[in-house]
Amino acid sequence: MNIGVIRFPGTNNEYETLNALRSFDKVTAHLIESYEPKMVKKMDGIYVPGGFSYADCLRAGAIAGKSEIMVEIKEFAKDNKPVFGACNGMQILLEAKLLEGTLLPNKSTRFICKHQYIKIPDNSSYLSDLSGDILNIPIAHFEGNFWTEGIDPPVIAYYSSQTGEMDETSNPNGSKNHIAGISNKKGNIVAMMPHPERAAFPFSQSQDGRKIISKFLEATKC
Amino acid sequence: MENSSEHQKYTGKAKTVETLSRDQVRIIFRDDITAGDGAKKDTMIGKGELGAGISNLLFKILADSGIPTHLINIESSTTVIARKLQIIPVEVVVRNIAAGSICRRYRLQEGKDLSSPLVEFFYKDDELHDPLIGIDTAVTLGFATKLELEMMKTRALQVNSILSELFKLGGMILVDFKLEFGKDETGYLFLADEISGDSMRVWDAKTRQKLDKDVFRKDLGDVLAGYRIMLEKLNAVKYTPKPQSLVAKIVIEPKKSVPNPSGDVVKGTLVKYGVPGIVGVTVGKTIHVELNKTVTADWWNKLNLVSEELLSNPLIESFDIEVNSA
Repeated sequence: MNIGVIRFPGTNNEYETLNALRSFDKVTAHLIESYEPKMVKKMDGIYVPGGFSYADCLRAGAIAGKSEIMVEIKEFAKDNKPVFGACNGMQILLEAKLLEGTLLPNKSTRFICKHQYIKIPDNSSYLSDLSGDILNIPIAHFEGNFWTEGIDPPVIAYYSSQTGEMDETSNPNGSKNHIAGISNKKGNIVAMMPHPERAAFPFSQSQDGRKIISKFLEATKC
Repeated sequence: MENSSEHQKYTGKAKTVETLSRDQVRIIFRDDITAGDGAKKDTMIGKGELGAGISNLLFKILADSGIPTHLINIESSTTVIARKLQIIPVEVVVRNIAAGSICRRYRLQEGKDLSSPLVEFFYKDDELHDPLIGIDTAVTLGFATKLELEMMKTRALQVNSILSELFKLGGMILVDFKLEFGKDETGYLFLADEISGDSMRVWDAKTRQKLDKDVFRKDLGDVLAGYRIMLEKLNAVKYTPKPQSLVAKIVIEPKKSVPNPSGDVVKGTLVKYGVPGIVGVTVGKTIHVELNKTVTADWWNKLNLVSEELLSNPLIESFDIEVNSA
């Protein structure tokens, strides 16, 4: 299957994402530059990796979210094909309005870089098989404080402790209701602040990210 | 202006406006002169031609300086073809020196130098004698939007700086003047009406002789002689127009209900500094967009659009646009 990894100016997770994807069977991972929107429709799945697209000017993901390639990705997602965004990828998908909600600066006003447990709730996205799992996946962000008002997007991951408790100490950034990731209603566009591609190699502290990536890859066959 | 019984023809105090098409009008400068909101009237042969001559000369210089004006084409010595606009019922007056109504209103001596150009708004209504109006009143009563009034003020000050220099080069003093603005279908503002001896006060720089309609208002002699001197002096000036640029200031503020972590940090620090009475602090941002004279007619619609879609995030922020001279 062909997976497209989108690179904007300022993206910096594209190579670990490509390597993580290539470590799975039958995956051909392509690096797609943001100025190659026509490549999108040739893919079976799209992964928007993290980084600091356009130096996070205005708001994280704001400029990339308005780019031509996001229009293509919106079209791509209409066919029920899977889209995944990690970290800046989530910020971009929100700014492109492919997902609903906003990411504010962390409550601490600090950049946070650490391993974090997340709990996958019952959900109807392509991650539904992981319901109940508690996964150890790194986070690295400044704007990850999820916030909404008047809308309730489907949640696909909550910040939690190793044993699944959700209290102040297990919420790293002040996110409303501990939300770490969401999906669209159809469940084929999924995004989270944690980085599955950084928990996908034998030398990583955790390989739990592989579970998420494998469900994303399975969704290409639907 | 009154609507005459004739089809699509409006007769004002000194000009007649005929609608030619959906977007064009013909403006005829008549030989009529009035003062005191029409209380004093006369007709003087050649007055229309002098008024049109001065107004066209000034509008051309303003257009070359990047001020959008209604003028499309000079048709004859007393008629012009102009854009058909919806005239904003608020006039802008710029004063450099105290004269006229401001002297009566605040008991000022005519000729008092105002420390910086003063902009005043007046509501266009002859029956009410064009009363002074504040921005809040004009906005609340729906005469104009806040952005339109700010834009009119900015443009009026630009016009003042251009014309003050021009008159100075011609050995004259621009005391004050009145401008009217109109908007096209897209909401873009154009300078409209006229700028002539009827709508300005202009004095000879050396003798302080009045060259404007005050001569008629105050029965000081031959008003057209003053207009003629003004036009001759203006024609003799060699003036190179300089493009005027604008700066749009977009102020983006977090909505009240949205958490503002950096505001919370600043609040804590302000409290530590001992600033009393602090209840809340939010931190937003300001974006300055400098625009050159080539901006197209729909630039502020576009500016509003990008402010809403890109520069701010409507889920968490609101924005306000101010337009000022660069």
